[in-house]
Amino acid sequence: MWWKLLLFFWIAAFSAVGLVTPIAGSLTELSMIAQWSAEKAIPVKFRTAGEPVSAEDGGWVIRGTDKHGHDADFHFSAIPENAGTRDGYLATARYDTTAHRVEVVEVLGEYPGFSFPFIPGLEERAKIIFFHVPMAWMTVVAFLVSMWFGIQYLRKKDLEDDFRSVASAGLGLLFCVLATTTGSLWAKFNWGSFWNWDPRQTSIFVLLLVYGAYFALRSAVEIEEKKATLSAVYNIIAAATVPFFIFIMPRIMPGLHPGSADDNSAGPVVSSGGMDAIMRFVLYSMLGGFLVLYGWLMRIQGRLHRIKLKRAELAP
Amino acid sequence: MLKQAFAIFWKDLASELRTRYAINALLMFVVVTLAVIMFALVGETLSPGALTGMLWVVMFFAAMSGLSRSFVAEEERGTSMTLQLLATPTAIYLGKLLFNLLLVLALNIFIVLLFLLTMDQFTVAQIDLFWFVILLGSIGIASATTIIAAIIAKANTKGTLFPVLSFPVILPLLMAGISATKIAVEEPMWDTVWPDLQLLGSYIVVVITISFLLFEFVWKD
Amino acid sequence: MQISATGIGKKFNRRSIFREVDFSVETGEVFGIIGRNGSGKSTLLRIIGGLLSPSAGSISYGINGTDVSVEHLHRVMGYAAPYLTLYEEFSAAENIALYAKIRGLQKGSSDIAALLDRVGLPTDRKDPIRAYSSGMMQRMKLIFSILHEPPLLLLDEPISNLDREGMAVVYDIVAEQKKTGTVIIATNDDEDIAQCDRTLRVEGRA
Repeated sequence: MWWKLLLFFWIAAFSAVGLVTPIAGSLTELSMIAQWSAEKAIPVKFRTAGEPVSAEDGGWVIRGTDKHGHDADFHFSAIPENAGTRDGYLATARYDTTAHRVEVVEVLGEYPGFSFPFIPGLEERAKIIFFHVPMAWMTVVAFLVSMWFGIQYLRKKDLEDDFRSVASAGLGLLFCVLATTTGSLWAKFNWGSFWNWDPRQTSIFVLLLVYGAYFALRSAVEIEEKKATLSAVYNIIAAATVPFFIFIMPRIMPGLHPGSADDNSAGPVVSSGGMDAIMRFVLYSMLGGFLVLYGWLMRIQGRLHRIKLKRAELAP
Repeated sequence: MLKQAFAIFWKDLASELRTRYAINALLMFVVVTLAVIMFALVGETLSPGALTGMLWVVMFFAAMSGLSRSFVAEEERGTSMTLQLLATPTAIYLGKLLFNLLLVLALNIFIVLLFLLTMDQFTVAQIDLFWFVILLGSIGIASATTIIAAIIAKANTKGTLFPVLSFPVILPLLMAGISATKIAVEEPMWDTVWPDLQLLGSYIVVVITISFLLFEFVWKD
Repeated sequence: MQISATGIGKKFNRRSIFREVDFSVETGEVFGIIGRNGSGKSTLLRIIGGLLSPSAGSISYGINGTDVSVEHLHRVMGYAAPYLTLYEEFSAAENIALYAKIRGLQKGSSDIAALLDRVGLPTDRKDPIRAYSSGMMQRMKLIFSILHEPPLLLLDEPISNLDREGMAVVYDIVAEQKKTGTVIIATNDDEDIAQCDRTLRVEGRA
């Protein structure tokens, strides 16, 4: 019982951390954005390194340091509350390239203890990584587990192995649908359309087709033993051919996903080892949570299965 | 084992020539499909690249309508047990693979010839590379569909299940095949087409190997 | 041909057809498998013939002390049953030639005529066997089972659809087989049972 509560709090806590942690950029991103758009304001955090000084053209200027230790003048239109005593700010701002100073648009709060990096092009939408990526991973894990028990069934002809294979395929289908839905909703806001035939979108679409075909095949065979054998064989064939997409897709389609082979703008999110440490920690914690959740769902299905067998008086 | 496989191959061929169960319907299917495409495209000018896609669509659906025949016929007539009493599963798989290979090659050559004759806009830049890709693609289609046909022959809703099960398995082959054919049709460059050819080759090797390993489980009740 | 089976059980859809079947058969024996309708006689015969895998237990086969694996069983075994179907689009002679070719045997037209003659089928018919009566079809199945002179002959209801003359053909084949090999018959017919040296009663669910 205790571990279920722990799991619940674990996932809830890391979801909260993932969603609530502010996104805050540095001077690097500010100047990068300024090259593309003079108007766009992004969230930044900085520590104050001096007293507010009134500016010649009105407003107030405070000397500040960003998280990388770079200095700049931060210009406020009105003097912020408790200006002398605060040690830092989280604020939306833009870089004024003519005055060579940062224009603070709106103060959001104190300097946050930890934050996620600002990634141009992703911004707040980067936070989907904590939910979408674990779902996509679980789809693949469930598929591999399903294939593993399929092989076990072919070796030992034990219908319990077949049951585990189906249970895992069912969960895989669930995670696959969730990953596809969250992904395409996100794609609408980030890439402009729900579906773009990006390599990973295509791969998950094919996995969805494989799961669909797997269950269609199962419902078309009546004898349990034959059903188990045929679906295990199909599972293995699919698992042997799906990886070809890894080689074929990049030739046909440019990747949109961060971390695609031809992607060099992904920056600090997922490029190997370059991901922000806090983000990586939250992501891996969520992955762990989802893995345990998957195990729990497998256990529940196992119990349900035994109850059904008992009612039909077929328990071994 | 090879002798057994050839004997089964000849049996299927003789049976097909006698009953004309698959081939007549398949040839008509191809003619009808091409006619539909031509009616749909009256007055349109399409690039050879777009027509390559059409060509593969026709080849895919022709395969989907004909290649399950050899296994489904054994199962429907109840002769699969007879065959089981005559030869090893490996020989049976090989015999069926050879038959499907012949059928799909004949079918695809027919489709391509009709395509070249009827579509004026379909010009091929390098014809020998083009035929080589069609040959590799045909072998790939035959190898993937033979094991799937063996699976669906044991199920209830055979006809509808065949494309459903085949599509996700055959999709990498289709994509590599279309990509390679496009290169042969538009701007033949050996170094750009080479990865596609490698992919087609390794796909065939992987699928046939795994089919040999798994066929016995499918075949035996 | 020696066969020994221990603890054979078969399940369909998790339901047991029969369980814990043990028996052994020696060369020169005619062994009968009997039981009510639905008791699993045919299922057991299919398991013995390697057409079905048992859910439990194992069977070993041997010829003069050398083991035969299930994969190669079809080379040393003949099988005739009502649920077998031959290739009906071919003529009788073509069917026999086909089986011989797949088995890698040399059978000339005189061999084929002799086989047809032995079971009392006409030797000059060239039409597909689709047109044959069920009794004639049963005789074709007998040829199918003895074509390669197997040491083991499995017969499921061998006299079904046959007339008196046809029954005599079957019992002649059984008597011939008994001299050098083994016969297993699954049947409910008293005349068949009279041919058997020993019988095994299968007590499956109805």
